[in-house]
Amino acid sequence: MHLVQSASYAVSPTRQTHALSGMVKSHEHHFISLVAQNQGIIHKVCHMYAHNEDDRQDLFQEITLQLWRSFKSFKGDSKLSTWMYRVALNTAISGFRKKKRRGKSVPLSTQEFQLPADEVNTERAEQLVFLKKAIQELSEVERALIMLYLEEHSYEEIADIMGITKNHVGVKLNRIKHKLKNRLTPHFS
Amino acid sequence: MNLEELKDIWQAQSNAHSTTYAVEEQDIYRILHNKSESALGKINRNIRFEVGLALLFGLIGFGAAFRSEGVYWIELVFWVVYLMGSGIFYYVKYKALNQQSMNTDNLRGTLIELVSTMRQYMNIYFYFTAIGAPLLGISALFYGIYRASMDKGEPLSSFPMEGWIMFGVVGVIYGLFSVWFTRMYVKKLYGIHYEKLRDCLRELEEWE
Repeated sequence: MHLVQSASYAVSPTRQTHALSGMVKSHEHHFISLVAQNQGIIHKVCHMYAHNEDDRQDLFQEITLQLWRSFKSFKGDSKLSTWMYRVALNTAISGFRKKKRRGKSVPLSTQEFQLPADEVNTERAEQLVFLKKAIQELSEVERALIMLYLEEHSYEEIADIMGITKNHVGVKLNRIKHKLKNRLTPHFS
Repeated sequence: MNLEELKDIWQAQSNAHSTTYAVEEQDIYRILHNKSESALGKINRNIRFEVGLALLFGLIGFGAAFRSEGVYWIELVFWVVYLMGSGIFYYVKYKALNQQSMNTDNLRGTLIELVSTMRQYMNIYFYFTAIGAPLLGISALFYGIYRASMDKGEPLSSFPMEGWIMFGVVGVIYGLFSVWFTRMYVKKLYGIHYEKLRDCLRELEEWE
């Protein structure tokens, strides 16, 4: 914007419009390429909060649009991944979505986990099914916290995304782990 | 069972998901340029449609106040008030709904703002509709009675008592129905979402 303003003394209005449109396009291209490179974050949030294919696609679309709308205000104060998680989780948890009648939620099965088929992986995939089921029983806020933990985010990053202190991240994570342990122990033993 | 042990397999699985569902740059471009199919996008389109209808209705009414026999000032004022009221109402509605779109604060900050905005929005929606609609209807009915008396060349006081009683009964029934219906409608439309947001916020705050 600053470049356009300083150049405006010498350039004709038509050329200014072209320059501006070029900048907007390049800005958009930059955004698209960033989202394409980091789309894993959006997919992870979609899988955590949407329970069928249609909902996942809708949520992916909503998150992408929200990221685009807030991209202009992204100054790089935080890591790109932290910013993306913030917007994605804000959209998934607080976004206004209609409840659809189409598409029932699909029950989790080991087939959903794409791991090479051998005995060890089959056992681990089963463990994952139980883990995912147990996570789905948590509240939406707890799910966000455990997802960030499983994705190896630091307590500081989690606190930054959630808006609570590091100490409380620790306290709450311990409670969630305890809850999960209680739910999972019978299956794992 | 140790969650630490499951971290690597969790990550492997979520990375595998990301690969399976990966979208191309063209798909992202399409998302940015296509009409949004999200609920918020649909609501926004509905609001624009409602604004168009309200404007059309208001302008027709406004135009109808200018007749061959002269300008009907009461009608003119009515339609100006109607247009201004509709303008304020839709502006507040649109702003409240889209405020959340721009929020990039942390989850707690977003929830605090959303809960407050939604409460304001629901109040505005409720009072505008529950009070505004009957007020408009009753004013229109009163104006009908007034015009009828004027056309007959009789004073308003000559209107029969039974007529005023009927007018009062209709007004009260309409008012009560409007309050009940709007309350139920607002709750159905936004109440569940509002409750959910408040619960999430309460949960985050009880950790502090």
